[in-house]
Amino acid sequence: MIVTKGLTKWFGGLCAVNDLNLRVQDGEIYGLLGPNGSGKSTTMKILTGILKPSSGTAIVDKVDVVASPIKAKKKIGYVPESPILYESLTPNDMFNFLGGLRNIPSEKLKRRVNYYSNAFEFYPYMHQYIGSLSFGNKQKVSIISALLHDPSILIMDEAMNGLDPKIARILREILFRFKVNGKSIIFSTHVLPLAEMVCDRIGIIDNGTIVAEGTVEELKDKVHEADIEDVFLELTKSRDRVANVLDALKQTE
Amino acid sequence: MVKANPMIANDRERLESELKRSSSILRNVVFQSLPLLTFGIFIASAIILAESREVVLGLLGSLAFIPLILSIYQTAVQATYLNSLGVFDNLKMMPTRLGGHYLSGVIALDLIPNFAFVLPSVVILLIQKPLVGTLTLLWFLLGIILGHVIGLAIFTTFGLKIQSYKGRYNFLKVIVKVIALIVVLTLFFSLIYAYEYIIPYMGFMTELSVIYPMAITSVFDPFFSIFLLILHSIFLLLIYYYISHKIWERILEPIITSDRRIQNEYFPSTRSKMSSLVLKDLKMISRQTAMIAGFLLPLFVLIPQIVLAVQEGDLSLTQITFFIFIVGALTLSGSDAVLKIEGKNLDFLRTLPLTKDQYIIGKAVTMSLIPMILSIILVVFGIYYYISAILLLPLAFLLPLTSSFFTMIYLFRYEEEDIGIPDINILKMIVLFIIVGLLFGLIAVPILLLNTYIGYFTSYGIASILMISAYLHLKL
Ligand SMILES: Nc1ncnc2c1ncn2[C@@H]1O[C@H](COP(=O)(O)OP(=O)(O)O)[C@@H](O)[C@H]1O
Ligand SMILES: [Mg+2]
Repeated sequence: MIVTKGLTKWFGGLCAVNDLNLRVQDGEIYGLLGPNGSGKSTTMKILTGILKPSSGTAIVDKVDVVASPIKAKKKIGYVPESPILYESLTPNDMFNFLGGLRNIPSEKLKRRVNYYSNAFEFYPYMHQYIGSLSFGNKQKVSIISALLHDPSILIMDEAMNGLDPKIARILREILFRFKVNGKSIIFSTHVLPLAEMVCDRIGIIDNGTIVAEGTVEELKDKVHEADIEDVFLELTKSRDRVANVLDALKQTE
Repeated sequence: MVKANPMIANDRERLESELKRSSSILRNVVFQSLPLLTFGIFIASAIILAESREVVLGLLGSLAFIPLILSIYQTAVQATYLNSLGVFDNLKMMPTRLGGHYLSGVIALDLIPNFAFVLPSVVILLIQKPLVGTLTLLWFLLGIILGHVIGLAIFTTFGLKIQSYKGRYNFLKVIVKVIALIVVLTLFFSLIYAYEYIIPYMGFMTELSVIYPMAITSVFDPFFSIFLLILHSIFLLLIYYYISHKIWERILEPIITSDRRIQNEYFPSTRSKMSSLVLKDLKMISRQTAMIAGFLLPLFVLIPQIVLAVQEGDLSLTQITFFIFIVGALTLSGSDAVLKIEGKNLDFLRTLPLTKDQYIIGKAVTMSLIPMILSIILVVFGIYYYISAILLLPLAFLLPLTSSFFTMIYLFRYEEEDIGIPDINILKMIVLFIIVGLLFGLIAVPILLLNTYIGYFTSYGIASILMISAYLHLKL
């Protein structure tokens, strides 16, 4: 379970996350949707302990991330927005490094790396320097790295970016298995149909606060729209802006 | 330099990182210059004390090797590093041939510290005999340029290959590289050693002495020296012209090596937290040749001194002890590199269950390892002369660790509880050198004052207490 209460993050004078209240149940995939700069990544970085909140609390699997960061970090698997990896290591080195730091027994580590490498067709890159991998393959290293310790909380910031359709499909299946096993997954994306397909509940975030929350159906009913894209535009009050831009474009033609 | 490059300036992020790099280069210039200057003064004082022209020439001959070797090394390393940064990728699109000149411009900054090495001697000679001094200066300058050209040649032949797969026996290759470097350095100095013996029998104008670095011994014969300088310059210009063209061709179309045997298997190996951290750092350091250079700094400072001591035949136990203290103190010069390798990966480390003290102690251990190995080599070398040098073995472990633990305490003193990279500036480094100097002075007192065995054992005691209390301080 992930619970945040009044989570707030200031960057100087800018309030990136503003009194954010979230609750992701066990066995739930929660989609965090919102325009660029709305605070999705910042929220996730607070949950993972990269950033400290200015105020408010964040609890993952009954552990307060600020009060007991190490305990919390053991429970979390995190896929950042863009892969942060050691470029001069190979994926093999990287996985062993994680195995050591996360205290994963050798047998389990081997089984899991093999399982995911197989699923993501990753074997050919096992001994290539990460710096020379393509973006998609770096993303795979990042995803495998997040899953190796079998976390009870998964935080994925646009994790589907750069993956080809087949791999994206496989990742979706893996996420479903995590969910069935009672884990909490929080997931941000700009691909709305994907969110519709994957997420049990969706939270729309704008200017650092949740402006609407619910299942896709609930959200659609709320604004009386049938298409998820229209729901998104309506809830983030982007409708008029899109219309204005379209008008302007027409006039310049 | 960086700002003037429009292609880099277009890319804000890269510009920022490049600018950061150049400011750190500037810092490095001063940084690397300091120890070199110290040794330069040491040689210069020998020149002042020299009773005869032969001794001065012998010293100049030895000295002339150093800027040459350093500049070969730095050029090759720096060019490889810049290429790996992708600095040329943007330039490839431009309809001009930039090639070697551009590279030389960027690297020039790294070669400046080499002057610090020879500067004191040049100043002394300029005061004593202006013409000889000027010629010496020109020869050293030529030596640096020669090294640069050789470095560029090495880069073009070996550096401009694309190797994306980790080869087999990678670690072995690094070891071989390091050993080769040590052997080459030692060989050069041994050559001087041999040369010193040759001089008295063959006079100055031996065939050997028309080529740099021996050619520097012609400085007392100005006309001949100028003639040799001109010959060298013409030769260098021709080679430089050829190489700078070659470089651009190779940058545009690198040779792709594929000596890989495809290995699709995963090889697990799990270690403790601490050894995982240290091993990861060592792997990263060993794969960035530029980093190895930073850690071998004590070597550049020590090898000439050791060779000199052996040459003079007065290598004493006290001297070996002194060398081990120097290596121990210089351990702290690796702190910048060992922390900087985290770079943008800091955020990644922060998501792992790793506490600040584990991180810092891991870094301190990584930092100490290379100096420890160097110290052990020194001890073994010392045992060859005096069996009692074995007394130094505990110090080979204690001193680098003490130095790095105190460095970390000092650097992380004001920081909050999070894993981070402290800002390391010159001032902090100087303060650190003083702190470590004082501590080492304390450790050295019993060795200097007491009877050999009691002295050494008391020193182990003091060093152990210092090291352990520093460790506990970091741990708590
Ligand atoms: N380290 C930082 N320093 C200052 N401002 C930041 C920092 N990180 C994010 N921001 C700002 O916080 C806001 C939210 O950013 P972010 O969480 O990355 O948005 P999202 O992921 O939803 O696109 C943005 O306005 C961004 O510019
Ligand atoms: Mg984001």
